[in-house]
Amino acid sequence: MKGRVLVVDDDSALAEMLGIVLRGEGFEPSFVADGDKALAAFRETKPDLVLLDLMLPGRDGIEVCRLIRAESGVPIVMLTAKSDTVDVVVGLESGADDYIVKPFKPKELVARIRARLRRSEEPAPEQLAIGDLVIDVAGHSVKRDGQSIALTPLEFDLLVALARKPWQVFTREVLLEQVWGYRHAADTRLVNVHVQRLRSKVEKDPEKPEIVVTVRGVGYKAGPS
Amino acid sequence: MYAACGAVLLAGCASMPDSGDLRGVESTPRQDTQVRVYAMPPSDDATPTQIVQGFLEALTSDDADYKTARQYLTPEASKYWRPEQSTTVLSDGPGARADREIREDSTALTYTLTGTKFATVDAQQAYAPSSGHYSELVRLVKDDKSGQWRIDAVPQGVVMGKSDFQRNYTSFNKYYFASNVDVNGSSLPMAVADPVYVRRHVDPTTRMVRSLLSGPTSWLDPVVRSSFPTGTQLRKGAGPLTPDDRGKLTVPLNDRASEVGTGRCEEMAAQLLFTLRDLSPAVDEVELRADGGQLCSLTQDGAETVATRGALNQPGYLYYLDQDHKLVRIAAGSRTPDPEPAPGALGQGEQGLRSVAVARDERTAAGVALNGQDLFVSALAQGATLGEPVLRSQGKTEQDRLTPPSWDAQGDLWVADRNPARPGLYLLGEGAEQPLQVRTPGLEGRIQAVRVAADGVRIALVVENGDQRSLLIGRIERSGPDEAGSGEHPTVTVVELRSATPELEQVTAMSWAGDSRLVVVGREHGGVEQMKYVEVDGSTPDVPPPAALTGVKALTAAGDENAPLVAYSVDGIVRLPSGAQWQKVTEVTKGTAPVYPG
Amino acid sequence: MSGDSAASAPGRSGGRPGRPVGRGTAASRWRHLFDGDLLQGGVQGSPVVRLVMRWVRRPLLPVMRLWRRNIQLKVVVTTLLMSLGVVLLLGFVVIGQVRNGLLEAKVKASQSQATGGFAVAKQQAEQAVSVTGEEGTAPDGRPSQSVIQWMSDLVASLSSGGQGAFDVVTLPAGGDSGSGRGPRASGGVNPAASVPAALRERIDTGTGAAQSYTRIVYAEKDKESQPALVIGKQVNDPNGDPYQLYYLFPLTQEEKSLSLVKGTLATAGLFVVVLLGAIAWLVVRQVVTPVRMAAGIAERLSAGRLQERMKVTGEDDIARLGEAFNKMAQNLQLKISQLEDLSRMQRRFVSDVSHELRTPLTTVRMAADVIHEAREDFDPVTARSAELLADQLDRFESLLADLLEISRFDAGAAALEAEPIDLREVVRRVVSGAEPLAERKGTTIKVVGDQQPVVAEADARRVERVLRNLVVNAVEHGEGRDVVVKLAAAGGAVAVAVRDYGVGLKPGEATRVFSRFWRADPARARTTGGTGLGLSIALEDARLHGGWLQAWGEPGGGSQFRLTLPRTADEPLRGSPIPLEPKDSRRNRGLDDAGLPRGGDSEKRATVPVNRPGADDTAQSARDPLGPRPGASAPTADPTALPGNGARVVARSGSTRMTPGAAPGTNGETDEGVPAEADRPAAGEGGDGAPRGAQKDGEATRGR
Repeated sequence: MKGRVLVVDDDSALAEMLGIVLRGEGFEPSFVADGDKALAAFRETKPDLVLLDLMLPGRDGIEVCRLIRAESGVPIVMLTAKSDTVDVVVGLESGADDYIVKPFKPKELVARIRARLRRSEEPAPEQLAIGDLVIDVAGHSVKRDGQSIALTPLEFDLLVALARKPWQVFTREVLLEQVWGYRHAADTRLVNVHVQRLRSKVEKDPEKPEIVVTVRGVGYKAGPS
Repeated sequence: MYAACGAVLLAGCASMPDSGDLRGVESTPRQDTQVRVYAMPPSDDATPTQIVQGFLEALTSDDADYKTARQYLTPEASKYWRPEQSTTVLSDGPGARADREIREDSTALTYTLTGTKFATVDAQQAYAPSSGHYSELVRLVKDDKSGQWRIDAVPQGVVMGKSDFQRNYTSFNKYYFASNVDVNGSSLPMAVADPVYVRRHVDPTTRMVRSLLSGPTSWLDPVVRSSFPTGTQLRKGAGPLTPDDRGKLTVPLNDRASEVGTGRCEEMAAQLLFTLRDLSPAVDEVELRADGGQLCSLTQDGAETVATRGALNQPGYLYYLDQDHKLVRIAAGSRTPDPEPAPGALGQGEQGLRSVAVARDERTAAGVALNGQDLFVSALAQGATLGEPVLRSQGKTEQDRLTPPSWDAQGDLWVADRNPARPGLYLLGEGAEQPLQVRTPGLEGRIQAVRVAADGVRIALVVENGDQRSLLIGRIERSGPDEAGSGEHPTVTVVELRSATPELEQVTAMSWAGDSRLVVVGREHGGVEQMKYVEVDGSTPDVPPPAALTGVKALTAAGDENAPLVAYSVDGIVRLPSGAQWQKVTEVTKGTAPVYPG
Repeated sequence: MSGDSAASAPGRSGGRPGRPVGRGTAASRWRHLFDGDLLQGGVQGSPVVRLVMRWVRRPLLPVMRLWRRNIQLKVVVTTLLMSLGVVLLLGFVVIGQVRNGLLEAKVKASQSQATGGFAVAKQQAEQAVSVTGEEGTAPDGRPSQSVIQWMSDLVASLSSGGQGAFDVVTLPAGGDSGSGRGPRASGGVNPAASVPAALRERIDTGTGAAQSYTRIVYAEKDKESQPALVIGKQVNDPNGDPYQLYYLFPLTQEEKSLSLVKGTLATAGLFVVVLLGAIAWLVVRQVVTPVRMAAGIAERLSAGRLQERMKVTGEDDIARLGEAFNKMAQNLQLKISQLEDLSRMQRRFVSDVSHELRTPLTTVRMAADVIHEAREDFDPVTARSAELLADQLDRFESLLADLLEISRFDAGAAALEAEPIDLREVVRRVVSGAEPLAERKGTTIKVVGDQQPVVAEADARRVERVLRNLVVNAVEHGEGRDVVVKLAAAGGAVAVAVRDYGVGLKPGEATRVFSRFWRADPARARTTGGTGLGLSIALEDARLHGGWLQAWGEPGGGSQFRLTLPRTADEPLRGSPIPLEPKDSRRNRGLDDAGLPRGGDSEKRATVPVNRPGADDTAQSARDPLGPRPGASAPTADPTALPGNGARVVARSGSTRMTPGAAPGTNGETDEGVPAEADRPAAGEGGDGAPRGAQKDGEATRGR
């Protein structure tokens, strides 16, 4: 199991503590304290997951997140002290897969990390169709008319979860559990933001979604294929 | 600019105008300032004197049937009292004097009403001057039960002062038709005025109509006829007659009139219209009704086609003699024209003239020669010759010869000879016939002037008797040759001469000035010469006298009231246009003897 | 709707249910209330009168409204009326003056004329005497002979001088005809009617001349009478008998002059009034136009367009007003932007604080966890310390979270992310989350009313937080008895009520449970968790939705908390589908025991007017017609409960309510958990009527 985790945090105490916890759980943490240096460190260490503090000296977490996401689909979990909707949404929209609000318990953090890493580890040979999209689960690719659409692993998982049961309407809570692996529904904004991002990538017209359809008052379902 | 205009406008509005367009001024009728007396019934416990005074006062009131006056009378006296019977006019109002002292226990009392008689109006409402002392008895008794004094015996008729009479009575002419006159050259009957007096304020219209229907006054009766059938009266129950909004008067008559034809009816209507012409409000049309149906209807204009009267005759020219004693004339309407010689022989100056008369049709003229001896008649036409004198006086002096002649409506010429030896009044039929001596019974004195009225029924004479020259009015009665008389000649008589101006002692000139009116110049006893109008009945008409003029030697007036009065005085020939002062007719030429036709 | 909503009718004001649920403004509600009361009261018996009044008022209403609203009209009308009054007054004065002046001149002229006339009359009488004296030789010799004619002549001569300018009348002295002389009059005057009786008497008694005003009556009927001045004097006739001589001067000319003046004044006055009206209109327009502009701009300012300014021209007062207005707007804009900056700074500060606090806390937390994990290796004292450290860190964390949440609300930074959600899902999640706690407490949580979907536009996270709070509280204070969660939807609103049968609430507590850090028993040690902010946050959450969070409770009878949310986010609430006081409250049961009939279905009751003016609950139900609550007659348990207060708290002994262990979302703060009512009326209801005053004090302030 891969366990390289890049911790981008300027608080050395927290970073050290994170290091202690992560190492205790068998991960290989590496640290960087400056936003400016985060991208270089990312390229250098090629982590399996990035723990990213939103408030950083130099480039702030949002910017770093966006830069990393531009290069790679590696799972990014944001550490944030700001549970305000705006902050979270901005973070999620800049490409983070998940977020965890400070203060968190070590177990919670570890669970999130594991959930993200597990998702990206389990390929299942499967061919799915949703709308005019063709999804190769094993190949981790989505194509429309042969054109490949680049999705992050989380978005891919979200799409796959919907496409596997096109007849079912997924509540946000169910999606949160299936895709993000949360036991208790914490924040459905996570779902909302990622559905929006997914739509912006796979829908022809994001204003009139056909792939991921909103079921008012309940949640989402896959569009007719 | 606008401000300037506005300022000018404002200035115009804010000050009294000193210029502007011309406009006629409508004459506002003068307010009636007539004084009225309101009769009062006798008060309780009035003294006998108060009763008499109240009674006399009530006679001067407008009380229609003297109802208030009758309250002063005992019922018996009231029954016998006839106020309509006569009106005695006293010159200064009646005085009342108790014959003896009033005592407490008196039950009967006698008062004497005194005054100086001035005139009387008889039951036919004919006025006659009167004179002498008035004295009548009035007896009062005290009623046993009520203890009130009442008049028990009273003279018939009413008595009042002169000014009260003038205030309460008005004169008007009723018109009849001359029975014995054929108007020359016209088939129209000649209307003759018959002046009577009615009470001014008591429904004069109806009273005038009633008076007209009742026939002419007795003086005039022999020579006039009425078109109304005898016995014609207003229908019984006919209310007060008043013209309607359009001036139309409807006169309902009784059965006697129901049979008349249209021509007769129109004559009747003409009589009415002539009679009512001066009435206010004016009557423009008369409708006669009898038996519930309309007999005929006649307008004022139509009346003049049915009958004529003297005043309707408008003179064409004013004639006079210039300083060469020849006849000249000026058009009547013009103000200061040059005189033109009258056509014919009289205008040629062959024969110097002293006085002249022109026939009413202005075709013939008669002139008295300068010496007063000869009377010539000549046609007023170019080339007419003078001919021989038609009458010659034998008087010794000019003053004893012929008077100025006068033409009547028939075209007969009247002239008087002043010869003391053989005074006489002559009538020349058609101006050319043999002179006919007119009989003048009862005439005393010498005729100094003759003027025949336009209607040919009346004649005015100035008669000198002693040192008095008085104006007499006589009635002309003609009897045809066929009638019993003086054989082949018709007889003409002037009867019932009476004085029209008793107060004037020296009448120097006179002329007819209307149907029943004359203008006279004369002098009262102890007075100065004055000029005034008189009615033929001797009353003074309710018109202002002409402006004073001294030294009037001759006077002429036309029947038409619009023609100015013309006089020959020391200032020459002068005339009096209405509303102005005397003014000379001509500046250059002197003249004498002005006459209008007639 | 469940049966308990059919709670008994008593206490409902009969007049109210009939009233339509209007969307009217506060004022209109006022009027309605007033009308209603009026209807209930004096005019109740005479609907005809009411109808007539309405019929009369209806056409006047637009006029009155215009009058109230339009100052221009007011000023113009007032100016017109006042100038009319002034013109009238002036007219009266001027006409009076002119009349007096005219009369004075006329009277003077008339007096001199009449005096001359009297002298002439006297002179003529003397002359007549002397003439008759001369003619004393006349046969009768009596002077009385010519009086009748003399007097008529006198009147004629006197009147002829006037040319119609005056008329002369003689009357007998003494008022009778005793002297034998009747009245004489010139000009057709009716003497008796024209001379006033009073003047005649005066002339009779005195010798001097006297005058009076009268009306000339003419003898002719078609001639109109006219006002006149009459001057009279007693004069002797030639006989020495007195008679009365009157001069009558018609005032026709004066009347014409006066009517000319009147006409002129009337015309001028009319012009002046109209002109003044027009001037007033113009002037007011000059003032009103900028005022109206200012009003419009003020409205736009209040709508948030702070950059709006008035156009200012000139330097007059209006311009100064505009400048002042603009200055005010400027300052307002400045202040508002300052406040916005402050708010932004505050939010920023909170955000920073949270970050700065949380980062070290995270480290501490992780370290504590590590230590806690390893506590078995420590000695007992150290191990216990590690346990305490972990526990208190939990509490500290949740306290911090709640504080931050509250501060977010305070700063107005809380944003609602509403979307249609099925409340049943939320309830299910909350109940399942509270299951472990309930098991521990031995409590069963029942869910009622979840057969139908209960969908509303809401923020699921916040709703869940609220409900979790309520359910956990209920379980903790339920003393092991059942907890009932009821869902309902009706008429644009959805509601969730959480009912427990624990110790309940004391009177007044229902309004205080939502206070921050409020505890039912301050003496009680803070030994357990709970931040004391849970219900405050819940209330803020409900308010953010435009919903209500209300509490009811009675001592020993348990409590009920009710969350009411509008079905769509923007819609104001007008009622709740669930009555606040449950039907199984002690009081209701007591009433039932007393044999009072239970009302039928709530909707039914809503239409049945039961007139109970004394009911304390009128306003509440009036405001709440869709979700009629159980009839709340005077509280049986506690007479001190505020009348009209739907949240009635009955005293209880409760001391057992502290329960450690937190609900997951809010860390299960064990507040006093007192049921309370925090009515959050819809915006328009803020101005509800006086009958609600007491209740408002209890509820509405909580809603602020």
